[in-house]
Amino acid sequence: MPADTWVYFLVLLAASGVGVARYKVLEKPFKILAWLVWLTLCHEVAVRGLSASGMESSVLYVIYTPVSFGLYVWIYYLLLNGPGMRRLMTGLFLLVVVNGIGLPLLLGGLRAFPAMPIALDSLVVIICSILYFRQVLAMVSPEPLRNHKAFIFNAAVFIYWSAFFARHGLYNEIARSPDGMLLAETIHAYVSCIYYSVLAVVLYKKPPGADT
Amino acid sequence: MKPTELHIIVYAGLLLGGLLTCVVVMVVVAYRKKQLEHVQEHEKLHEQFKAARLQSQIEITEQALQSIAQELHDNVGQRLTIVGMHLNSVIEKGVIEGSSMVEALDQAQQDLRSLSRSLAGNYILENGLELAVEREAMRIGQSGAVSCTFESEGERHTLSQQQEVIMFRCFQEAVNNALKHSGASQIVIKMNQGMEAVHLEIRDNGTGLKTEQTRGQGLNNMRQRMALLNGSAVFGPGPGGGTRVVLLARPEAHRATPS
Repeated sequence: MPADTWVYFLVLLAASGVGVARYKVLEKPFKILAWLVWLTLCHEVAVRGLSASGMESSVLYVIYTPVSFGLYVWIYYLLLNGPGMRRLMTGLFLLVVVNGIGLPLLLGGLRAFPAMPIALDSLVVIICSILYFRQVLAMVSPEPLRNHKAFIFNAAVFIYWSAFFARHGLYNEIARSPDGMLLAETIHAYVSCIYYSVLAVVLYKKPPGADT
Repeated sequence: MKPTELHIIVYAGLLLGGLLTCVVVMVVVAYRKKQLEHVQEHEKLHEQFKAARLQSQIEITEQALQSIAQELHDNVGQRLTIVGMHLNSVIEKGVIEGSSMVEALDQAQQDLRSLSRSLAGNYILENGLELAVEREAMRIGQSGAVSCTFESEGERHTLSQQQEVIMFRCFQEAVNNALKHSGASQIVIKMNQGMEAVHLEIRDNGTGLKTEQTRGQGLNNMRQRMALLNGSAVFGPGPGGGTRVVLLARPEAHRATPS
């Protein structure tokens, strides 16, 4: 396993550890985020394990994709408020779950990597993050934005999933070349390291005004 | 995939990352701008609230002084008049010898009338600030506690009635401070009236202000009240010792408009 993948695993493990240590004091959206990080760790371990033993791992993505994106939409369901927002989030939740399960079965079965469903689900998460930016600009709080955990989480989600929307949208082009795949994997590992480090900070940070 | 295609993808990725980061930075900048606007608006509302509260305090005080003045004039003054009439009839009948008592009673009635006038805001409104200040200076001088002089120069000002009352009350407070705390034997009052501002200077030859006194509640109240007139109240040492208070008020037409 390359060094960057080891680093990625270490960061993911650290983020999971922070999630375990801080779970009791986390607000509900960040409790779900902790579950998401644990799920990602389990998924990555399982994928590497299956790949190492020469077995097909795409089926794991068909399970992981709807569950993980469903958790993202659930977090935004709790973070976003405003008229019609809850209904919209429920609709998006159903969309990502149906898209994550149904589209892979329709397009290539369980043995093909679900690049297109991931790209579409990423798009849904990007829309959620844009809606959250809109909500931030509509409200005013005396606290600077760097103290808002939800804002940091949202900024990280926006950048990470926008990048991955582009990557998974171009997956078929990149997958044609082994060099392209290797490069994509390396970039994925580095960007994911930064992303999960930010999520670890989000899980570690106290909410504004908290003493403990 | 050719190496050049890979490079294109890498550069496109970097460009995309940069653009996404720019979006986040723009959100942060927009938020901070909005936060700043909110803070400024909040401060403005707070200032307006403070000014309105001070204004209502001034009005309540003015009403209280007005009713005390009315009570002194109508009730206590009338009783003293009756006492004077009885005293005169007793003296006329030759029961007692009391010319000094009559003089003392006349003096008490005069003092009472003068105090009543000084308290009543209507008196300031009817006679104008300059005359009210001059009379007040005369009343203080006549009390014999200190020597008090008044000088005035310049054209007649155009302060509103409300401004005149507030400025007169601040002037009274400055004079009272000099009488109570400075141990002065002399108070000099100078009034300078211009088209753009009215200056009223109260100078004494007393012990002067200590630093902590300049930050006291009473002087702060005066500063705030004068700020309501778009003016100021400045406290400091006099040229030859003692204390110098300068009150400044601008007529409504010359008020600085906030930028």
